[in-house]
Amino acid sequence: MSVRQFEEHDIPLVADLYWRVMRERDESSPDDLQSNIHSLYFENPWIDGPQPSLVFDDGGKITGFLGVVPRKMSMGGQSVKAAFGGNFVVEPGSRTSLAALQLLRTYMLAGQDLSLTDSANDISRALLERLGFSTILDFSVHWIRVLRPARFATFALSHFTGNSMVRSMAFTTRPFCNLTDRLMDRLSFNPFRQRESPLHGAELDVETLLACQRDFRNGHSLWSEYDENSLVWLLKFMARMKSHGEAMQQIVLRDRRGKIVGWYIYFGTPGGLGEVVQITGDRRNMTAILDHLFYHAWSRDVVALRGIADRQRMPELSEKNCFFTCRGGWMVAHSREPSFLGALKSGDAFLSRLDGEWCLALGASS
Amino acid sequence: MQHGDTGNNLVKPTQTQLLEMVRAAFVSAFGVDPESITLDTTPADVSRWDSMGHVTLATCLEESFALTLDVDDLMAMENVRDICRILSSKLARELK
Repeated sequence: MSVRQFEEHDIPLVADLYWRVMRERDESSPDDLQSNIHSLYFENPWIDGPQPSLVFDDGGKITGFLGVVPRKMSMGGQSVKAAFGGNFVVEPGSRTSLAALQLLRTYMLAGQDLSLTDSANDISRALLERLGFSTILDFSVHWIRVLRPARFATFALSHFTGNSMVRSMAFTTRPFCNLTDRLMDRLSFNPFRQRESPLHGAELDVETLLACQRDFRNGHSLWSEYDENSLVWLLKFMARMKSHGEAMQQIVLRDRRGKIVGWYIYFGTPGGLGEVVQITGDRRNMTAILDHLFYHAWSRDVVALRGIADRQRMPELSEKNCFFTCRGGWMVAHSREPSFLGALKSGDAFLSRLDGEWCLALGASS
Repeated sequence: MQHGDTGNNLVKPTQTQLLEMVRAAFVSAFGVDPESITLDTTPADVSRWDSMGHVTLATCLEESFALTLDVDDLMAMENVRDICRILSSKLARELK
């Protein structure tokens, strides 16, 4: 039993393990999951050395997997090698082999400047903290903005209880909830009523997004580095996976003079919870940027939106009647260089869900 | 138990006392019968001794022995014999 490098011939076994444990399915993994794993770990644009992902090999049987995707970052202009861990899975019957600890320990000693994950659950977080990782609260608090209150209430009940009877009730009460939401939209005192933004929105292309990333990171010490190739690959991968929603929306916002003041990217599924990948812009226009996002998602029948509540946007998010929660996944990080963790902890990092492994969640058609 | 602050006299526990304290930590971490824990016990012998259980056990041992286990200690604790050896060596260093 030992930890070793993930190799291409391991993909079917890793896909089956992931399918069985993470998706709780009995049958063999679908072919597209295997090709998605290949795409994520062997074709990503940041691979520039040995494969960093790890498997726990128990005499030819793969009983553990830790996917690692390297990312390029900069700290004050100096190159930083970051490695994001994710899709961490251990066969339940093999957990007394302490595979999880051994995989994590091997990962953190692999030589990167910064080890991170941005969607750790409570168990992963506890293990990682014991191994020396720190929780980065700035990227672990999430905001939720309700767009359609009645529909959201039934969505939340059916989604979070997982009870089939509650799901049936949610389905049958949908027409009533639609009517309630339409009536509420007419009430001027409704705190969740949408307001049209004075900003003009248009499709955000890769070239503009690259320029925006450069222009709006000013004032921060730590950020992700992209070129056209890596950004195109990332956006295509996210859109193809549909792990966080059906349709990925990318919108750039301009003021009346045509100047870019912000942008957002989110996944929106009609009737579901939309997931905001990135929302950034000029601080003075943040309220108008949020109004534009909320109206855009509401008009596409999204019932609520969720995103990362970094401290700089807290006042505007609060003013816009967002709720805050820590139940959306933890960011935990480790580095031998204190300034990297310092930048993350002090809000000095220009990072979003676009820059981690949350957005690299695997999808499968079955 | 003799270990701990007894005035100014810190006394290293005997191997038998050490094993008893380790067994108590196992009871606290996993709720197992203390008699089932021997020097040869490995994670495979205790159903809840997985990675998360290992971390819980380490915390119980730290509280019990009033010392800190680092990551290398954690990774070296492959069975009860290893745990006793690591604790014994740490206690000896503390008593010097």
